Amino acid sequence: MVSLLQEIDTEHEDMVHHAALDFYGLLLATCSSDGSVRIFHSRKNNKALAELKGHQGPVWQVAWAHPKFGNILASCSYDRKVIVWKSTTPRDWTKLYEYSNHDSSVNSVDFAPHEYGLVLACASSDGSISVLTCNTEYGTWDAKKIPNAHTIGVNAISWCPAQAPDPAFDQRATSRNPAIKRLVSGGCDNLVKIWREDNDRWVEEERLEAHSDWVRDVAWAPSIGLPRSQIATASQDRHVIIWSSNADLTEWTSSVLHTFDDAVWSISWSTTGNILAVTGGDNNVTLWKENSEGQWIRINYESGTTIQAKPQQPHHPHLSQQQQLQQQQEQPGQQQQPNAALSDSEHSSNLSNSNLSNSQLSN
Amino acid sequence: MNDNTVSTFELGDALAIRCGNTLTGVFVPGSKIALSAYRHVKWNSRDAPTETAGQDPVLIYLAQETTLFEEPVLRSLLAESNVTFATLQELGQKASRAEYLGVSHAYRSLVRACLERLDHAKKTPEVQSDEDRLQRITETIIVFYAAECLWHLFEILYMQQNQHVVPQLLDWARFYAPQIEDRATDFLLMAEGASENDDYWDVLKSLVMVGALDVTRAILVQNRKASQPAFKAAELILTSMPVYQEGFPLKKFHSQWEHWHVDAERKIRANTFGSEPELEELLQLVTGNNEKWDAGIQESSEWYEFLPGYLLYTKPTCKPFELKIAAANWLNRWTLLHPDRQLNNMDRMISQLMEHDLRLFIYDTQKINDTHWLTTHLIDLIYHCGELKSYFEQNNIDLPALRHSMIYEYGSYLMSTRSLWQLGVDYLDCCKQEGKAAMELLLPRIPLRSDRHALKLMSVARQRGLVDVEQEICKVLSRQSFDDRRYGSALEWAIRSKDVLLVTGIADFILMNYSKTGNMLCPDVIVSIGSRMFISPRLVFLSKYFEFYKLYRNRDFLSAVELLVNLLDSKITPDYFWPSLLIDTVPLLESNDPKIFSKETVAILHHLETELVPIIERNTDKLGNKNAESVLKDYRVENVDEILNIMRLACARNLARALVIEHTHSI
Repeated sequence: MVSLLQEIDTEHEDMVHHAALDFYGLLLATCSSDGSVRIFHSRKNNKALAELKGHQGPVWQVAWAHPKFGNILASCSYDRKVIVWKSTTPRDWTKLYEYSNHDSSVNSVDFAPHEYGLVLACASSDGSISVLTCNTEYGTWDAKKIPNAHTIGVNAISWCPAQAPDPAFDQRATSRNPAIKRLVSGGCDNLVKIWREDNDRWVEEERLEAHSDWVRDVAWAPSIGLPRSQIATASQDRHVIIWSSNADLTEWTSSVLHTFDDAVWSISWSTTGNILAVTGGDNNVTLWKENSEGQWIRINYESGTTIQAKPQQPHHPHLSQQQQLQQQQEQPGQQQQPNAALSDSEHSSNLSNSNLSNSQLSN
Repeated sequence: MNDNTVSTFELGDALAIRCGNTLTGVFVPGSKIALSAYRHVKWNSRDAPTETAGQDPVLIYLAQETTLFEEPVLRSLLAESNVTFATLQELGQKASRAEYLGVSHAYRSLVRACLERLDHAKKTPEVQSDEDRLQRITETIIVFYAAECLWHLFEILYMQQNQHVVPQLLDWARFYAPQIEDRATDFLLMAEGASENDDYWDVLKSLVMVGALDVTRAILVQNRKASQPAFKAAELILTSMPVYQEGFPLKKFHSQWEHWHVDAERKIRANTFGSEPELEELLQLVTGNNEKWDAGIQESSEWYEFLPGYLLYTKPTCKPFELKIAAANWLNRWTLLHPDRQLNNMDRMISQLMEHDLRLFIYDTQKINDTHWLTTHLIDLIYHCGELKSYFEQNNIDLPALRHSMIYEYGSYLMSTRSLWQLGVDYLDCCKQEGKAAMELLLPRIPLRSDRHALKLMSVARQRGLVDVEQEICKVLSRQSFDDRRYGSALEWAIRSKDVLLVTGIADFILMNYSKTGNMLCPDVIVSIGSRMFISPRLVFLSKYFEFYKLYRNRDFLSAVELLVNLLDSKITPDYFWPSLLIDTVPLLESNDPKIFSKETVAILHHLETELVPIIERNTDKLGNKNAESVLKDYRVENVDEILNIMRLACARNLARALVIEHTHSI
């Protein structure tokens, strides 16, 4: 079962588009249609620590850099700008760098794995991708552009983890070199593309075709030392596809995770890449996990967890109250004997669900 | 709640409702999910405030998997089971059954001790006044009571290798139904007066049904009518009932038992107990009278409560494989008599164990809300003791893979939970490459609360050869110290991180700060760098320059001059530091009693002309304006150009004096 830790009133004047916790999960950054970015303590329900104003349009996404570079946050907006912010204390933020070399809305930003230095990738509706590299010694920024990455526009971008499969695990000499930077992008041409940095240039390494509508989100899975790589992509064609490759990233195979009832807007991996969260037009946040036989199962297929917007409640009921109510209804007759009282509600399982799949049960 | 419905967690966010129940969620570090109302805005949407702007509060919800382990009382269970887990890993797969049983007992006693602590905690006033915590503890007790009960049954059926299971099952059932025995104890204390209680016979019947014959007899002996023939006869039947002892010839026992059974039934039919109908009923239960047992079943709240007792009177030598059928039959009979009762998970899991359906059992135990504590440890034990190897093979379950994934998940969970991370390490250590990779991802994300805490993290990383993680932590600490203006510690951590750029950056900062202010930051750290300076040429320069700085301060001018000239010749002087370095020579050049020889003076002059002059030129644009951002600064002069004149003059004067002295000496 999933429980609510806290509610944070962002006091944004308009819809929040993205929320991101920093590396340690201590600070929360939110961005909104009201053009501002706000910073909160993630463990306390207090007011915003800071409000970052600099964009003139809706801010789509925020991304935190690795803490070894300090407290650095990037935001991208409809106003075609990418702003990199820096703080010395969570309350004091200054603009470190502003990049305005896109001709249309910038939809997505993602910091590269810290091993590559302070590097930021930006995806724009003008169809291009920018890779901004900071020379931390002199504080200067260098921008490289991939023009015409996706016709009509690039919606999402994600970096390949720097961690390479362990050579002890995979003896073949062909394992990829972790020093080579790679990106995956998804766009309005229904394509997913993998880019590789090759001598100061970015080249298209792979073109993954399987979606039949705009690709809305891409997410490269964290590497957990296995000789393979995975990318999840979500599209308006209602599919989430998991792309898997061998260790040297030369062969990609796709498998459809699920066909959803509506377009899928966003996907995200948990830290170790064992769970994938999917949200879409069906208004559910569903959690998925690959079981020990490589099948993707929706978590808690039996008594599971989805997170849903509740339709009929006019007010804003306190969640814990609702849960308590539920439990009270189910508890009578169970309280007197602890050993006797394991009903399914108390068994409500946790995120990791069963490692034995249904198929195993049926054979 | 039905198994087939997906249980949902509902929010009810006003803004989400207004926008047509839209919601979005994203994983954020720490296994949390951030949820908020969502409205699909596209690149081509009109750039205007949305119609819902300003109407509802815009909220972000942080949600997380519920886990009972937030309860502090459970901390010791986690820590101790971690120790037992480690013990089991050391035992490996070749230990004796007794040793594995020992491990199983150890786990169970941990749960027992934990339940006692929970029970104790539940009664404390602070918990009683905290409704949420009380609720949580109550839930925790239920969960771990079940875990213990299931584990115990598993141990009896699959680990002890008993030929006959009835005695152990009796102990098991009685242990988990303590109310009856509690009441029996009351009766024993009341002695003769006990029979005046309304529930006297009901309790006795229950005692018989759970197979507690000794206690039943003890209570009956205290009855006022104990000396009457009916009671005497009952006592005789009860005492003469043969009890099977392990190793006794089975056939012989059966004939004895059959004889006793026939004899007892004969006595009942002969109306020996006609005057005492209640007593008669007890004996009918003992002889396995189906009608009486059916009545008993209807009274029972759990299907497995009276099963061991029933077996005692009807099939006392039941073998584990016979239990399968007996349990299935009993469960059928019980459900027929309890038509309204739906079996809950606990009921099912117990029947799965008794019916040898371990696959389903493992599947269902994973649904207990214990963050897989039970499944992980139990499967690990099954894997090690190897008793069920063939079962898993027959059922196509890859036990090593299952164990691996369970331990991996459990370890990852601990590792990503505040203050439990150290416990997770031992589990992930068992997961080979994947475990190591998970640690590599999770270790650096543990917030660094103090230097001591960070050192602990680093030593864990180092022991596992995760050099990158160790260095990553150093880099973060360095950055944090730097932002806090603790430059000494920033430099220390940077050196430990072996990141040349980072070290150079901090050394630069210290040098620039010196040239601007004349204030040397963190001298005590610089002095202790020693041979570690070779990580970066800039650090070498800083250390050497600091050495000069100290010699000069200590008025050891001759050594200072030697070092300074060496530095000038070293080719590692950063551009921005040339003015400072050269100005440092001025007092030495201008000293009344010459300290710099002619050759060195020429060298200084040479550096002035070939190093500083070009730098100044580079920093001056065509119009002759100084670059505003010029890095050339020294706290001792306002304008860099001045240096040139002062220096040239000082060099000339010193050269003259030095030449005179040198030549005078040589004559």
